[in-house]
Amino acid sequence: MTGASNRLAEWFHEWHQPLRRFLLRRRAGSAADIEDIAQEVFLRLLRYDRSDLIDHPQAYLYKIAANVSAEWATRCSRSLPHSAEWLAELVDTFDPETETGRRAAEAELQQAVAALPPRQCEIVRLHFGEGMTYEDIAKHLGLTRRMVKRDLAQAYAALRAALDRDLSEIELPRLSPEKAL
Amino acid sequence: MSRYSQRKRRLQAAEEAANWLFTLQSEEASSAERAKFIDWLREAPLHVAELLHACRLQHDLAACIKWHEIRPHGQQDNPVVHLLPVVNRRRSRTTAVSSFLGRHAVLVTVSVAAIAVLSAAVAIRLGQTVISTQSGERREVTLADGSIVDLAPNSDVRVRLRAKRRLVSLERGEALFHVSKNPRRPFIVTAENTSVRAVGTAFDVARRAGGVAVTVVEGRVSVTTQKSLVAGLLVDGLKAGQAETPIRLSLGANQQVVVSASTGDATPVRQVQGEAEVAWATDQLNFNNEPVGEVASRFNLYNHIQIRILDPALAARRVSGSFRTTDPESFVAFIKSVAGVTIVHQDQDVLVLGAPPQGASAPKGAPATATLNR
Repeated sequence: MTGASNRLAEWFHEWHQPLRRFLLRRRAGSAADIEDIAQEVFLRLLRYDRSDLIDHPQAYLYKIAANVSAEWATRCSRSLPHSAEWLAELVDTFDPETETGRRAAEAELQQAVAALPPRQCEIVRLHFGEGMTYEDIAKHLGLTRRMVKRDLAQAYAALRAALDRDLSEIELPRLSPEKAL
Repeated sequence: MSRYSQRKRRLQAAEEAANWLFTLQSEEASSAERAKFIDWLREAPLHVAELLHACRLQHDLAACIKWHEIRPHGQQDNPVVHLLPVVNRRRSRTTAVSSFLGRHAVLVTVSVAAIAVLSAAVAIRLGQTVISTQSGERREVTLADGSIVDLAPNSDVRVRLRAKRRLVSLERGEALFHVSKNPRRPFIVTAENTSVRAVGTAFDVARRAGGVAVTVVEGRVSVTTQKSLVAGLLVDGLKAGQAETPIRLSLGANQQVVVSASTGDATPVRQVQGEAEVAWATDQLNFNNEPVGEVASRFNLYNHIQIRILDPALAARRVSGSFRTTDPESFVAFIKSVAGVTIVHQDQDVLVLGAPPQGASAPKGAPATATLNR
């Protein structure tokens, strides 16, 4: 990971870990649950003063998400018949079932990255694999910094689409291979 | 709003979210930009959700990817998407060339992909795709269905993706298949008298001197073998109307079977280390107590630098080890250290190994072992 002050990602990581385990255990579409959490975060965002948010967007997001995630965890443990077990698993570092799910998710991500258009794939690799900054990548590939950033954002969207069953069906109209020839 | 435009909007939001994430993280965000970000975020729960997804993705990308295993396949919508230009994997001798390749790797990849699309165009007309490799060349190809074929050197496969089934014929050599799951469209690989049927799994098929070897790395496949054509005719002649029942067996992960090309008989199912058996596909060669001569010929398959061994005693000596296919030098260094051999001759492409020098005693006894340092 580049840059030490990666607070937003840290924030997400912190509250998402337990949540994700829970989601993996349920094997339900995790998208739906993230939508619920997003809804909750959204409503709280509206309650805060706009100028406060603008001054410290990350700090506020961190706080809101931490609260929501704590409440979410409590709610989940109440609604589950084996709440105690589930909470124990949060502490447990290894759980075969979760491990399998995690591996499958990793393999899926790996595949999706490899399937990106070559330049996007290369940029993602240089950024995350080699820890290069946008400037370094731009210099390395003879692109502008803006192009690197745009490619990276497009790669994110493409990965989102590839990893989400609801989204992966989206196909922008294209010529079929036969017609393209 | 139609489902289509909903999805489109979501993907749009995903890209915007990624952009905001980058902007905030680079700490270049001005007050005006932060205001825009907050307004954007408060526009719709969708935006919050996509920001969460972008964070999650960022975390996963930083934590989970094995980058050395990533080879870009290019776009998935072409019948044959990307051929990995692994032609001649030996290291470039001139640094100028290698730095040029480094700087223009993307360009090279793109043009190779373009060539792949063109060659695929020809193949589509014929309703099939032929993928070939030569000596010293390895190739990874993503098929239109998302399955990946890793082709060993000196190999040919013929691919026909039909509506009801995916047919691959291994005409020569060895290939590793990572089959994308589709129960309604079985993936069938045939080699000589053997056919392997899978729905979503990873397995290797190799045509070897002893017959067709099928190795399962992941999942389960069903293997069907036919008696050879000649044997089949004889049987038909003897028992008219009675068709010879083919041998059918089921193989799970880490199991291997070898089917004789001449008789169609299968060896008993053997437990193997599936990953180790297909290590060639990740540029790794594993040897377990195998003669040096055999090891050298495996290296020769993958490299332009050819190793020749003059001393028959040395060629027969057994070694174990794990090496990079692209690094025959490390194997030579290993042999030199354990057997005290001399390099008799060395030029650009040939390394000739001879007997140990007079007086130097080569250590004898237990087979030598090397482990790959990564």
